[in-house]
Amino acid sequence: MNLKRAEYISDEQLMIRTGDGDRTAYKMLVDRHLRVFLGFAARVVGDRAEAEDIMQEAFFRVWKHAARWDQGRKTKFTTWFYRVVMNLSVDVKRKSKPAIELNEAFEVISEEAKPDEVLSDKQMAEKIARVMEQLPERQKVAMTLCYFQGLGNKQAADILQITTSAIESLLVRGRKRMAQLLKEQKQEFLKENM
Amino acid sequence: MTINKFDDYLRAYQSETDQPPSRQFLESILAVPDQLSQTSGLLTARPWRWFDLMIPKAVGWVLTCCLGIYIGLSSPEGTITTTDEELFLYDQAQLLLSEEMDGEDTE
Repeated sequence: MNLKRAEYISDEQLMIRTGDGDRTAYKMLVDRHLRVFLGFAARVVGDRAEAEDIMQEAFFRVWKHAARWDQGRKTKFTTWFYRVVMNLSVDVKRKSKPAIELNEAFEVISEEAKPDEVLSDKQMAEKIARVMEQLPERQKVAMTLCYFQGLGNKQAADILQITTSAIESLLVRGRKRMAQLLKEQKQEFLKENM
Repeated sequence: MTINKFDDYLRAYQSETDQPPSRQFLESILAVPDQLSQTSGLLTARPWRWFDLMIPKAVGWVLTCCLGIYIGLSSPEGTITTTDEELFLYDQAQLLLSEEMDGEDTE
């Protein structure tokens, strides 16, 4: 099969070819998925540098264990890879001691505090990052998969190995908790500036 | 907070955290095959691949055996090949010569 016809080769086929030592297939997997999964890891751990380390380790595993890819188990490559990256991210998150400085993590330039209506995108992002840090682990991963990675509830449930109704419940609770935390942040801001 | 405003926050966060990887980082990921050897899982985790590899070999051996049996059966037993015939004639000639020599001695 000609590897130039990239659009006709599934991730699973590329994984099998990678298992046979095909570097072009490996490169294609990296090209397809690095950016998306780097974003995922960064959202879960809240730090870009740590997310890069996680992706390095995740692709080490792709290359090293591709020969063991079991075609018969019918698992999508992305589902498997999300699980790898998720587990690595959760491990890193548990080991890392203090919460990282969000301004540093998302390169937010410290700007003068403003009310909600005139916040820049970076400031809004920083607020959400702060709120995400406070969410329980599973809610955070569920929110990240469904809202930021654009996955359907079914695939997110497969990744977390729970039922679709359980993921829906995590999303509802996560969203409620985020809204509540944002409200608290706003009240704190108003108190500080009155 | 309205749903729209909340969605604005989520959208802003999504775009801020969706940055492309740096060139240097991408190169380090692409260099992974140079740094690491692969785990061989052919027999343990992918038996169907092992089977795939064995099929052509097995077919080759079966065909070779069939050919051998065919050749073996197609040559009838007891026929004298040209070489056997030559050896037989040579032995006969030697016998005649030795008899002639014996006759000369007795005379």
